[in-house]
Amino acid sequence: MALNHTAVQLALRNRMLSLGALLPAGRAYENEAFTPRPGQSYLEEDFVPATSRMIGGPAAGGRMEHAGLYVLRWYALAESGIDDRPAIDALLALFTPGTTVPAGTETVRIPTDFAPNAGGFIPTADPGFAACKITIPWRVFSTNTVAA
Amino acid sequence: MGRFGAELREHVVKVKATTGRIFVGSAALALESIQVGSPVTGSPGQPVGQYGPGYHEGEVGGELKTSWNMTFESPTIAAIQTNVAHAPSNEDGIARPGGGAYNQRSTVGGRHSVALTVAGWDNIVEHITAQEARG
Repeated sequence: MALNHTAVQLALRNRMLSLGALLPAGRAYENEAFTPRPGQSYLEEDFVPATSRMIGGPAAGGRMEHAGLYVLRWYALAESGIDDRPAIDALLALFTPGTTVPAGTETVRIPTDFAPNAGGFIPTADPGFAACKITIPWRVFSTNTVAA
Repeated sequence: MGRFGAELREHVVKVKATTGRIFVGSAALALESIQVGSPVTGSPGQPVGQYGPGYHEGEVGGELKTSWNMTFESPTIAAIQTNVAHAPSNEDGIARPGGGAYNQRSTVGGRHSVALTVAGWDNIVEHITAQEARG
């Protein structure tokens, strides 16, 4: 069975959403229309599948490792200082290395060699916002099925 | 001790040389991953292609891709860098002041190439080490 990337993305998104009221009110999900509203902070989502490789044979029934990134851009209100930093720390605390998140029949794992991280706030083209990029690496191990 | 010592020294020299080749090969693959993409890391590489209507139509881009370079600052430190101003926006998708929304116009390449290369560093080293082992 091939990896269900939709389940992986939704699992990561739901984990992020469990932060609740600490999250920005606006949500720009991948490939959905969204217009930022002045005075309302918002999140932008990128789900980035990267590699799928066999790490144990034989091909049929062998073990596969899938890896990728879940990238969030946190648009805080400009000139709000570091008011949003505690919430970003709380978000990262949901994805510490070793965390596992169920995704259908698979389990999404936050790796231990490259931990989730958040950058600094930078000014954006829209003077109403400052953005912080949050990078969450993920891995899923699955069993390979060779189609007949 | 004479022969054993000589063989031991020879082994140390071989290990040092192999380690150096693995480092240089890994650094080169990291640059390739950022610049043109790599199946080892899943990086899409830098965007490059022919522009369409509304933006230098008919011209072929590639300034960002060719701007990346690598210098060895020491036998164990390699610096991979670019001096193109819009490189950070292409990496993280955040539009910087002075420009409008940051949209990728190329059909080749994409975002997060540096992040995917960093995340895939273990794969890079593993790949180069396996190549070295095969000789």
